[in-house]
Amino acid sequence: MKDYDVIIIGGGVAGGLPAAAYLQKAGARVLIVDALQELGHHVKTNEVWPGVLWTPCAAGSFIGNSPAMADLDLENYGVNLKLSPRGTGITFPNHKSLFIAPYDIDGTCADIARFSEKDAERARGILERYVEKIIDFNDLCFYSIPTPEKQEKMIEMAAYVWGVDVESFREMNAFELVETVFESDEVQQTFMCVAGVQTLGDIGEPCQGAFAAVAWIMVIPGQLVGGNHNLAHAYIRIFLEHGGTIFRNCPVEDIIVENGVAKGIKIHDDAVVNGGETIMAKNAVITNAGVPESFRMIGEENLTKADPALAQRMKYWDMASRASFVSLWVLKEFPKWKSMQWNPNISKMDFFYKGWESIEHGKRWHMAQKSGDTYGALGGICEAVMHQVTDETAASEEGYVSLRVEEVLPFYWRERGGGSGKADIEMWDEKRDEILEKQTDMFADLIENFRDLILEKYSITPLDLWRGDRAGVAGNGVGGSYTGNQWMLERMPYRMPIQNLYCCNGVWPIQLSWGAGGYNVACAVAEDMGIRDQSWWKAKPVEWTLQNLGRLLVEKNPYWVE
Amino acid sequence: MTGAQNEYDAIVIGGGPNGLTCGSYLAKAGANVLLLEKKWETGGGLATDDFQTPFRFNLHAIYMMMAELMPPYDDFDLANNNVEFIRPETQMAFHYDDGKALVFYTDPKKSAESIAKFSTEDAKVFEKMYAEFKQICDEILIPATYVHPIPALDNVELLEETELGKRCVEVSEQSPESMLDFYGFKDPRVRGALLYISTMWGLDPDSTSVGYMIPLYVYRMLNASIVAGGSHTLSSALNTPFKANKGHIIECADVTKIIVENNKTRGVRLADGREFFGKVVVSTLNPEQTFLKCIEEEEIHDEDVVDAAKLWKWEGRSFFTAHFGIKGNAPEFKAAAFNPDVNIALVHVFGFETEGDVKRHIAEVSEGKVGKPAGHFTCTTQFDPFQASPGPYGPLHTLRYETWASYEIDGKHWDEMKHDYRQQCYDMIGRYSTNLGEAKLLFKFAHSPLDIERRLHTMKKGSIKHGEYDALQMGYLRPNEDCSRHRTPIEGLYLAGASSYPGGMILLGSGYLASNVVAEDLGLDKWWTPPDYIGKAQEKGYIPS
Ligand SMILES: Cc1cc2nc3c(=O)[nH]c(=O)nc-3n(C[C@H](O)[C@H](O)[C@H](O)COP(=O)(O)OP(=O)(O)OC[C@H]3O[C@@H](n4cnc5c(N)ncnc54)[C@H](O)[C@@H]3O)c2cc1C
Ligand SMILES: Cc1cc2nc3c(=O)[nH]c(=O)nc-3n(C[C@H](O)[C@H](O)[C@H](O)COP(=O)(O)OP(=O)(O)OC[C@H]3O[C@@H](n4cnc5c(N)ncnc54)[C@H](O)[C@@H]3O)c2cc1C
Repeated sequence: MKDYDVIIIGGGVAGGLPAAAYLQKAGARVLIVDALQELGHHVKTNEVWPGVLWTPCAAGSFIGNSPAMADLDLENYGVNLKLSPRGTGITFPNHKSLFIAPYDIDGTCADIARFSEKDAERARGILERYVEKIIDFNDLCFYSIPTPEKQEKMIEMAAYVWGVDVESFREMNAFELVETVFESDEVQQTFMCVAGVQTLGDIGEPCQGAFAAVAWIMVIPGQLVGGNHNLAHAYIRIFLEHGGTIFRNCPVEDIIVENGVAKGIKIHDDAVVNGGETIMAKNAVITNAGVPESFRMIGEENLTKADPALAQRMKYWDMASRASFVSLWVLKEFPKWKSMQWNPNISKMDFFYKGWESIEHGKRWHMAQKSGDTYGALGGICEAVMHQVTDETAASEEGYVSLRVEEVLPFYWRERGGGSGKADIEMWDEKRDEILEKQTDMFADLIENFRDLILEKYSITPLDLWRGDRAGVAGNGVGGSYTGNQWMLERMPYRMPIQNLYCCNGVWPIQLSWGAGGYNVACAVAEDMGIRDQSWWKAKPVEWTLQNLGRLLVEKNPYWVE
Repeated sequence: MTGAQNEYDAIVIGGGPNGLTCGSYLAKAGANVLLLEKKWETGGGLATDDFQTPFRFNLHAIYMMMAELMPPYDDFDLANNNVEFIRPETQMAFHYDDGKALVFYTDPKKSAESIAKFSTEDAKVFEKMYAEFKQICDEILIPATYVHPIPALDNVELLEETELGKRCVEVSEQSPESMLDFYGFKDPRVRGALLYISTMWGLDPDSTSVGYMIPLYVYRMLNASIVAGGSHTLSSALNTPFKANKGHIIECADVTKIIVENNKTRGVRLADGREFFGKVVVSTLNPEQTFLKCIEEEEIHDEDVVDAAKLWKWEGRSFFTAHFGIKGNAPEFKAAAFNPDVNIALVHVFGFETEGDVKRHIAEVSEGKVGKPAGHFTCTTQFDPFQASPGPYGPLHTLRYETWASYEIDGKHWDEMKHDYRQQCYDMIGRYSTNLGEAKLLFKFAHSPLDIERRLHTMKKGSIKHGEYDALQMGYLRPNEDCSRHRTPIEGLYLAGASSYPGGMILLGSGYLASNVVAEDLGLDKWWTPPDYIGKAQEKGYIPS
């Protein structure tokens, strides 16, 4: 048996894989252990219909934000990033649309002016400050371990970008922020759409809601040519090339803690390899397994001894208020969006949203979501992805394309009326087709002859997502819900109160394909091991993408309508 | 792509099992190797996908006939690289409408006991045949799989020199059908079952041209294993030595041209215009792709090679494979009342009562008819819990049903029939099962022969072995006599795919053999030694030295 300096439990692209690649390249001897065979579970690409690719979970690739693009030379390992020149935005139920492209401030403001001249002026200021601050913002807020001092600075910077004074900013939720700044309902929705799916902050909470709206425009949505799983491939390649070891199909039973120090792991008896064995790590055990599973592996007793408050928070960590439901359709031809008449740029959108009926609907949706009313929350904001728009290789030779939609819902089925009523988790197995039909109706409302285009369709429920990846309890793919007490400093610590134990799931900022958690935990471990000082480990986030922007922005694509 | 280097010692085209094998041997021998794969994922026929559901579906290859016998297993220490072959003792159950079942085991004695319930005489015949098949395979045919072929006549001459060799030649003269009489099987069900086993991978019942495949299929399909975690685990394991030895992989790389100048291979060009140069190019593509599409005809000086590629025959029969994810217990079967072991069989065969059924079905499929989906079935999770999620809210089971199907079908288009036929497959399992009706069907997927071709361009017309197995396309003639030893008449061009010797299925044979000759020609250090069984067969004079 080899000796390891670092053991990483869970090889996802948000946490484990980037951490592994950085640390192994920095000279640590790293072992990745995963219960699954295929690493990068949430960025897996597949083709249910031959030739038509999709990445059902992390359908938007945010790796353009990561310093790893430069530090690890990801492009040379197969990460071929493409960006839509129109950024991201919404197609509304009223068949209008609006997109925000920080790469084209004039064009964006002209589009906004069709809704409101005044909003266009406001937006120009925001986008200009965005360009000024995007690297610093990412550096301070995402690719760095949060501290109370940093939190203050983050809020100041966010308020600055939005042109709002800090004191008011602290009092505002996302709705209030956009309503203060903009007058048009559509513009308001568009500027909070990505935050609308309840990540980086609860949109209904003061301060974190406003912060989430700002933070999300700092994330650059893109696509990897040939599917987003190529990101996992790249990390694995770098990792193996530098001598790393991977155990697949290998669930971890326990993290071994002795006298307040994490020593290693015990592998589950049924594992395909090394079943029942104990494996030691000299310097670090990093868990990327999600909070509930990490809690189980570390053990309540060990945690309570180390930090009773953290033990309690982990025990009651909320995963369930933010569950993802994914629907997938293979279409015979590129859909004609009804909003095309309003603005043909919808045809250039790879990563976008179907809006609420109105911002008021958004508020109602948020109430239903918070109170756990799954029925009431159905039909809210949806995240839509059409890979083919920026990656034509994702279409089949016949020109078939795919549409993937994610809706965020509370996990426990309850009677209407909120918190009361019996929870019924297996309802997901019963309701799957019904929800898929509802969503099909929703998109039939947005696309001409949608039903006639469908060759194949299926859906993946939150329960399926949980079953598929034990880190994604309750179908929560972001490391835990963003609620009042699961935000920023109150997310999981990177350095756990147990010596040599680290965590990169459930941490600030969020589990995304951008690998911020993995980057940050790698920094922490490398510092503690004294190997942080590497000539190649120096890039700032987003820098690489800005330097290469010209060739990353797609210039033409057969599906675009001018 | 920035910075990507474009000069290599060797370029391997295609990241299927054979391409990965070849790449790994060469990379470990110190060569600077580039592997180019058209899809975003390597593995080719070793594909396991969950479609983001809690189930792992083996889209193509599932039954491993050679498993630990494949040279890379030891050479790359695959046992310590996440690979475990699971080989259930109860191998195959043939289910009949009257509730009976014929069951085969890894242990021929137990198979004979099961056969005896139908015919005591056939039971004895089976034991004799099995023992003979086993010996012929272990001592001759398996070793021969991993050495370069010699011309058929020379081979016969060589074999005629020994007793076992002579018997091997005699047996090899049979067709799947005549083999039944050759040994003297009587019972219609026993005959039907054995005919199914020897024809399930594409041999025609009356084809005498590759009779030596019959012992291999019968012996190895009754010792079949599945890869723990899914077939793709083997692909990942073959990736590891490649990457660990600094092999470079580019996925989403569609090779459209092999650059040949003055009969010398220079490199390759991709559909997107990128070019890469190498001292040698190893193609795992099919002959049509390699010799007709990727190389200009005037650049190939050897007409025979071009002609052979033009005349290349695809397989007449392909598969329709249906995948299901259920919530509920693993299927149990009506025939368990007759023999309880059917509930723990790796492979279940439905819809074939007699030898006649097998022949009729093959004839129908060959004519492009889409009949009832008689075929074989496996519940992978029954043997390997990793192929579905442990829950919560299970149990969850992964079912795979496969039935012969033709690429071209009467009147209709596969895309229009797929959903309906998939349902028929599910119903077929249900007909023989006692409890499938209680399970909840959560997910269903299927691939038609057309889909196989669209997924893997090597498998034209759904040809799972990259080309028919017949006398003119096998052994020393696969894909033609100038190329079957993996070098080609074009300097620096080598073949390593299923269309070269020894052929298709998960053998890793062509990739292994190709790396041997490439290593020699590049003057690399051959760090590996052939498996012991090869040395023994050579000592006994069964295979060429
Ligand atoms: C429906 C959905 C849509 C999403 N959309 C996007 C998007 O558009 N863009 C984006 O960037 N992100 C998106 N995300 C989020 C993102 O994809 C994931 O959060 C991220 O990829 C998760 O990576 P990870 O490293 O945190 O963990 P995971 O990929 O979940 O990895 C955790 C690993 O730990 C393993 N593990 C857990 N417990 C054990 C154990 N005991 N022993 C061994 N192994 C264990 C698991 O098997 C798993 O492989 C989405 C997520 C979902 C679910
Ligand atoms: C439905 C089905 C079931 C099967 N079941 C079994 C089974 O149970 N047991 C068994 O042993 N075998 C089985 N097989 C057969 C087995 O999978 C194949 O024979 C085997 O995969 C051949 O290996 P290969 O490496 O030669 O080629 P392939 O596996 O075909 O790999 C070739 C690779 O080349 C790539 N490629 C194609 N064109 C290009 C290009 N222009 N440029 C770059 N790359 C390219 C392909 O994408 C592919 O990855 C099955 C096959 C199918 C389809």
